[in-house]
Amino acid sequence: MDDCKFRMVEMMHLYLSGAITDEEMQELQKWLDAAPENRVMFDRICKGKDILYKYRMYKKIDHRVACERCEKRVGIKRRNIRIWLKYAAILLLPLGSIFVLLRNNEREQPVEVATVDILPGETKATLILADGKSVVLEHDTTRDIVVGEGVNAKNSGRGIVYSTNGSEKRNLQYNVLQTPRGGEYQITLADGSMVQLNSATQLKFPVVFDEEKREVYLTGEAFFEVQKDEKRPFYVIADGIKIRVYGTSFNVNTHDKERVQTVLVEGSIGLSAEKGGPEYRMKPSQLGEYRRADASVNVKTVDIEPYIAWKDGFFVFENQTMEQIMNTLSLWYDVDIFYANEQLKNLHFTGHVKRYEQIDNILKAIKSAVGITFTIKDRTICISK
Amino acid sequence: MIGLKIVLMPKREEQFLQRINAKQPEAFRELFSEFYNSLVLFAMGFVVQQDVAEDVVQEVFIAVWERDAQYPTYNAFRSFLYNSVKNASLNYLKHKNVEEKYLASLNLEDEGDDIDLKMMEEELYRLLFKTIDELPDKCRNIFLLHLEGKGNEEIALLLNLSILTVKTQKKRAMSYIRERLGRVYFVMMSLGII
Repeated sequence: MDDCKFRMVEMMHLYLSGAITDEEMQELQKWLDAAPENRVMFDRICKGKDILYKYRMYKKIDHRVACERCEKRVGIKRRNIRIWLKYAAILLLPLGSIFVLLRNNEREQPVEVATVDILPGETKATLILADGKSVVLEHDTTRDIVVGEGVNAKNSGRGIVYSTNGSEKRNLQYNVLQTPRGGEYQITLADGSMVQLNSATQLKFPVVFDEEKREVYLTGEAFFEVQKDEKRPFYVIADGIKIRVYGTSFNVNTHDKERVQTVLVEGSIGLSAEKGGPEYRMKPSQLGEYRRADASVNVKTVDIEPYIAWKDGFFVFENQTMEQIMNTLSLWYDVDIFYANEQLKNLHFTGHVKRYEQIDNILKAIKSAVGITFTIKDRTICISK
Repeated sequence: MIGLKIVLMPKREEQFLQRINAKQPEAFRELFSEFYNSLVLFAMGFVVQQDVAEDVVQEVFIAVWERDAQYPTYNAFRSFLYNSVKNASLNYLKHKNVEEKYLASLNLEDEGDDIDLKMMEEELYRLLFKTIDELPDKCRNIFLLHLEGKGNEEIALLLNLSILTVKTQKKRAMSYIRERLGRVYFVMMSLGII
């Protein structure tokens, strides 16, 4: 097989994933026209009749067992202790120095950016109860927590879930769920609505909602999936704005100094300034922006992907400035950013990275692009030319 | 906006090849996780039985490891793997005294293009499956159904999702794949600095 054929394989891969460009399509077309057999094969694959069968076969084959068998034969010994140490180093942050040692061993080029103990955020939060007591929440502890008089919530790997059948006659008791920088958490409220909290976010909510309305308070960033309930409207009050929800999913972000951004994925919401004023009805795929300076609201249609990708484990940056990107990263990786040169803040980037990876992937990409230097000391990243 | 610069990340594949050439022990394991399953499927196209196919591929991998060769490019290396597995499979069949008729029906030795198409197909599936495995769960099911030739509406119905969600997840899968192929990984526009 020559390079051209490998390239055609790549083109077909792009075609099947719907990510092919017009130019590439022409190239593929040429090859398909070159011989009838080419087209026969291509058409058969496109029909996708045996892909699931093939995929199942593929998954049934165990390369690990095969590898272990062969390693013995070629005389490779598994360094179990080393593997163990590596994971231990990942789990225990203070062991940064061991981690450096191992990583340098593995790669031919030493990593210039020393980001040894800067890890992505994880599932953690603090719950503050009505009486002021606080409870630390982590994702692996399954337990019941008494969150109010006679009301329990269940915390597990999937977040904290408030029970739906609490009595509703008492006065409202509020709980506050807080994520630190470098944390995220998921909560299911008493009405079954789900809220995913991003880093450095705070959500205040009643343990049990009353009969007239459902009202929660947010600062930071969260993704809401609200249960429909015609009788009890759902409100989010977020740093100057009031969102009236008509059963839907949307993202609210108040981290920006200048504006509060709300993006609607499904359903319908109404956006207004908290102090009053007209309500703007938003449609799916729209961004509602509240400007803090003059309390104005502006609604427009956007590509919502960059705003909501975080909840599925991605960072999507569309033509954002270095400052915006670094602000996002600083919350998730719990680092502070220092610019040696103010101009650097205005560099623009477009990119797509996984959220659960180490920070150096993205720093390296930026570094190799503009010859910027990242120096990391403790939890501060210094950016200089 | 003054300049538009496209940055290519150092290709994963080239790094892998370097490790193979340097015979780094980790590379042997990577060889298995990258190629083993697909080459076993490819070998099954000749020898039919899975256990025989697995033996064939394992022998090839051990030979690759013990052979004192440097591979100039990733493509040359891939090509070598597929050809070796094909040859080893045919050898097995010959030694097993498989009936001439069956060998003739495979039609392999002389029709080079034909076998190349088979390799291309297997390589394509290899790439697709690797991508599928790396997608987040939600994306994965949608992408598999998409590959089965199902439309957005049908997928939405099957998975009980909104059409918008299907579209969003598909879009995500696609941009992820683009990134994986090591193409425009990071497009950056710089203001005044470059």
